[in-house]
Amino acid sequence: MSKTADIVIIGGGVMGCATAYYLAKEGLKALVIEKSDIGGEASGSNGGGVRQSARNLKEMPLAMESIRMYESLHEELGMDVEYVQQGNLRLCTNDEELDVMSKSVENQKATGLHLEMLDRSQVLEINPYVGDKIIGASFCPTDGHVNPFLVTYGFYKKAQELGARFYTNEAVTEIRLQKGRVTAVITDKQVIETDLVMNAAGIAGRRISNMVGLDLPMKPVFSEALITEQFPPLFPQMIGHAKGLFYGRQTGHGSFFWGGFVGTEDYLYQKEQAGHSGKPLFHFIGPSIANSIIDFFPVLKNMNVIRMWSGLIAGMSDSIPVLGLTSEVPGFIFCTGFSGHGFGIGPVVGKLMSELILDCNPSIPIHDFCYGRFHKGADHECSCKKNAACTINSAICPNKRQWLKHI
Amino acid sequence: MPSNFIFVESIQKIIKNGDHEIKVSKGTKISPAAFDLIKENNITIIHEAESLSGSEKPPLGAVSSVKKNAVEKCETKVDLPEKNTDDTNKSTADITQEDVDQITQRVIDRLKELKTCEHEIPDADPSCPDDDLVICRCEEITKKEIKAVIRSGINTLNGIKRVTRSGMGLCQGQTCQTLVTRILAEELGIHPSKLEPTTARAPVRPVRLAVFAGQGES
Repeated sequence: MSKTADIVIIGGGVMGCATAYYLAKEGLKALVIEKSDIGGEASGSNGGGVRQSARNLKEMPLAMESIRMYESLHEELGMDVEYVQQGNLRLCTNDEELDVMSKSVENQKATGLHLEMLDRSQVLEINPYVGDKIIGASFCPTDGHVNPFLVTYGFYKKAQELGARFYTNEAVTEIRLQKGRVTAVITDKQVIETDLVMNAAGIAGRRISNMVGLDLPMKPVFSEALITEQFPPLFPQMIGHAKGLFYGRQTGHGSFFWGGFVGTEDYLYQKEQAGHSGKPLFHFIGPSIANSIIDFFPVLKNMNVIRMWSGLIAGMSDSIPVLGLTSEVPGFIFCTGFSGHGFGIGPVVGKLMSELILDCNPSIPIHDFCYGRFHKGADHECSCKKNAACTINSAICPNKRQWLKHI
Repeated sequence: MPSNFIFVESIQKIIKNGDHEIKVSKGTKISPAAFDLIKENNITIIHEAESLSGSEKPPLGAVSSVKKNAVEKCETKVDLPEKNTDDTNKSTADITQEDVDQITQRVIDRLKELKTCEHEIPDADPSCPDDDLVICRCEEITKKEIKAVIRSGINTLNGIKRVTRSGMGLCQGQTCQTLVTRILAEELGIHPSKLEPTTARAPVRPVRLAVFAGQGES
C-alpha cells in the first residue's frame, strides 16, 4: 500500500531534521527517510564547529545568521545543546600561513565580520597552552562550538513532536518521475507518493541525484577524528589551523576532540611508484593528528586517546553546497554537498529550505548555491535571484511550480 | 509569509471526523497531495467570504452543522448516558461546550484504556523500581535516560550511544554494552541477537597521545 506525503526528505542528518522541524512548525509535516540512524553519518561524526571565520564568502550571510540562531537554539529545541561561544582561533606556524591568513582576514572583514589577527603574545593571552611553534592566529570572538549529536537529536525530537514522520533503517532505491516531474519515492520497504523530494542525503547526495538523472561534481573525502579522556576545562575556544586541515575543541563533557589530516599529506595518498595505487592509507592519519596535537598543545601530551572514528565528507568541486530547485526535474530540491563545513550552518539552512518549500521566498538569497552554476559558471545570472532556481533553459521557471495550488 | 496552508494531515483529520466539507479563506494554498485527497473523498470546498469581520469566525450555519455532525457521531459510536440522549431531542444549538468536553474526555479515556491493554508497555514513570540504576558507569547514565531515548524513536545501539553517551567513556562500552543491548531488546520486544552491535572503535585500550604519535619515552 502506498502512502501519500506532501514532501519526502531523503536524509535524517542535521539538514533533514532541521528542515523537517521548521516545516512542521509552519504546519507541513514532512516524511523523512534515513538509511541508517538519525545523525548516523556526517552529522554524527563531525567536529561541531560553529564558525564564520575562514568561510567561503558566499556562505558568510548564512553563517552569521546561523550564529544568531545557535544563541537561542536551546530554547527553540527545549534542551541543552552544549553551545559554547568563546571564539575560534586559527593558528599559524610560519610566515607563509600568516600571510595567507592576514589576506583572508581582510576579505572577511569586508563582509562585516568582526575578527582580528593576533601575534604570539596576544594568542597566549587568550589561550596560554599553545606550543612554541605558533607565531600568530586569527581570532573571531563570535564563533564557537556545539555538540552535534544533541543538535540533530533535538531537531529530530521536536520535529517528531510536531508531527513529522521519520523512517530509519530504510534506504531509498528509486525516485519515480512522470513527464519529468517527481511523483513517488520508492524505498526498500514501501512506496510513498509525493511530488516534492528534498535531497539532504549528504555523502549519498550524488547517488540520489543520479536517480532523477542529474549529477553533481561531488567526491567523498576521508577524514578522521580522535577523542581523549575527560579533563578539567583548559580552553573554551574552537581551534583551527591556518590551512583548515586541523581542528579541535574541548567538549562540554571535558574530553578533547581533534580531527583532520594535518601532516598526513605525504602518507595519505602514497605515491604510485611505491607500488600503491594512490589510495589513502588510513592507519597513518591518527598518529599524524596526534603528532600535530602535541606540536600545537604540548600540555596534552600525556592524555589518553580513548576512541577514534572516521567519516566521509561530501566534497564539492567548489567546496560550497548545492541548495534549491532546478527546472530540469521539477519537484526535486537540492540540499547537499556541504563539503565538510555544513554543520555550523545547519539550523539556518533548515530554515531557508523550509521557507523555499513553503513560499518560494528564502529570507537570505541562496542563488549562489544553485545547481545551474555547474553548467553556466559560478558568476552567471540566475533566472530567479531569490529562489536559487537556475536552469539551462531559463524559459521554464520551476518557481511557478504547481505543487501548491492557489484557490 | 502567508499562514494559510492546507496539507494532507488536515484533510485526513476532516475525513476521520466524518465531515464532507472544508472551509478555506481566499489565498489559501492547498498542497496537491491534499487536493487529491479532497477529490477522492468528495469533500466540498466552501469559500469563506472576505467580507467577514474575522477569518476565524465562520458563518453561524456552519457552526451548527459541525455540531450536528459531532452529535450524530456520538450517537453511533459512544454510549451516551441518559442525560445526553435526552439532549438530542433539543435543537443542536443547545449543546454546550461542557457536553462536548465530556464526550471528548470519555473518548480519550477509552483510547488510553485500549492502548495499555494492547501493548502492555510499562510507563517510564518514577514508580519503575530500577529506573535509577546506573547502566553506563563511566558516563553515569541511568536506565531511565536510556529508556527515554529509545521511546523517542532511537532504535539502534549506535543511536543510543550517540545521544546518551553510554559506552563513550573510558571503557568504551565494555561494561555497559550488554546491559544496553538487553534494555533495547526488551523495549523493542525482540531477541538481543537481532540487534546490531555498536561500531567497534580503535584503540582497544586507552593509549597516551605521545605513544600514539610515536614519541614515547622508550
